[in-house]
Amino acid sequence: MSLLKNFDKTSRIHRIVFEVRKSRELRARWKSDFEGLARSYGLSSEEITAVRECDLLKLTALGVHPFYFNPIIRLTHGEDFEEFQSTTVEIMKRSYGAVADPQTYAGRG
Amino acid sequence: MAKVVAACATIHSPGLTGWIDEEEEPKRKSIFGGLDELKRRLHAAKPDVIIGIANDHMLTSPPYNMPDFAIGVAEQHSGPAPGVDDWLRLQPFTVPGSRPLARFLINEAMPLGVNFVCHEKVDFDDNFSVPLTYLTPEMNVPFIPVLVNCFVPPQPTPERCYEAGRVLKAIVEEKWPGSERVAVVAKTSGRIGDQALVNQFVQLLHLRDGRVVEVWNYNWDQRGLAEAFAAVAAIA
Repeated sequence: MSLLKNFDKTSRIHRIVFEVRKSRELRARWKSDFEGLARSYGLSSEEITAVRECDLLKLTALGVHPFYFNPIIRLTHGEDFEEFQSTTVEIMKRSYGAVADPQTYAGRG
Repeated sequence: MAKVVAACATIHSPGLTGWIDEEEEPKRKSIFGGLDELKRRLHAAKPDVIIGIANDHMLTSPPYNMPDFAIGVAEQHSGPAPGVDDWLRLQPFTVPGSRPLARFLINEAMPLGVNFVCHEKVDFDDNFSVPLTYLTPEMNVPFIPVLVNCFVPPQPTPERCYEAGRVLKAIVEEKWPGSERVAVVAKTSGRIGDQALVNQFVQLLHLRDGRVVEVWNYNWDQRGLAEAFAAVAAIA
């Protein structure tokens, strides 16, 4: 499956991820009030759920660029890098049944 | 008259700083042997300015607004960007920019048909931070970051990248009024132990007759665009 098959350049998920990564304040809000933050960016309920649950298959279907999976997981789960790595592996296994390309998808790309 | 006095390519793999201890000793030795040799040659060329070419991991520009090419014009750059610092295990650093030349490159490329987007701030992740750490650890050579779109379709073709590299060289050597010695360093996304990619890259570097051959695919999965661009800039 091409991970870019459904890539939607206009997805608002890209905008929230891009901006939140760069802002300490927004990163904190992602942790404390993700739904409110996501609503302010115009994300739909379906998009909010997919991001909050780090559902990589759903995110792919929604058109999110796979290079943003790693930041989404990081924003959601990991201040601690080691914890982030192990969580990513779990999410990878859950989504794909295996860690197909850990260097890319576990933050080592 | 300014001159491109050196052109080289290296990997920017985050593992080089982030988890190099996990690599086997022979590979570590090989990697650092190569980096040391590259550093020696780069310093021997005595560059006054280094133009670094790497990919944008959608950190400086977002996927919905990604230029093919961009240049950072800041008077001083800093890294690593928040959120990747612990991953790269690098302490914060600064490196001087070369704003006059960076601006000149952007403006002079316009009539030559290459659009370099202007960034007042480039976020350094592994793309620039890792090679700078090993090649110019003193962080004292003025640096101009050039970003290439490697991830958001449609990426520039290798031919287009070649043209961008050719234009950079032409501006430095034929239009810029200064007399700097300029080095071009490609900072590619190859990984530790990825021999196939290394082989492909070496193959491209050997194409010294000036023609660009499609050595590998340049889609998202294969990456390689920054490599292609940088390599052709180096041999242009």
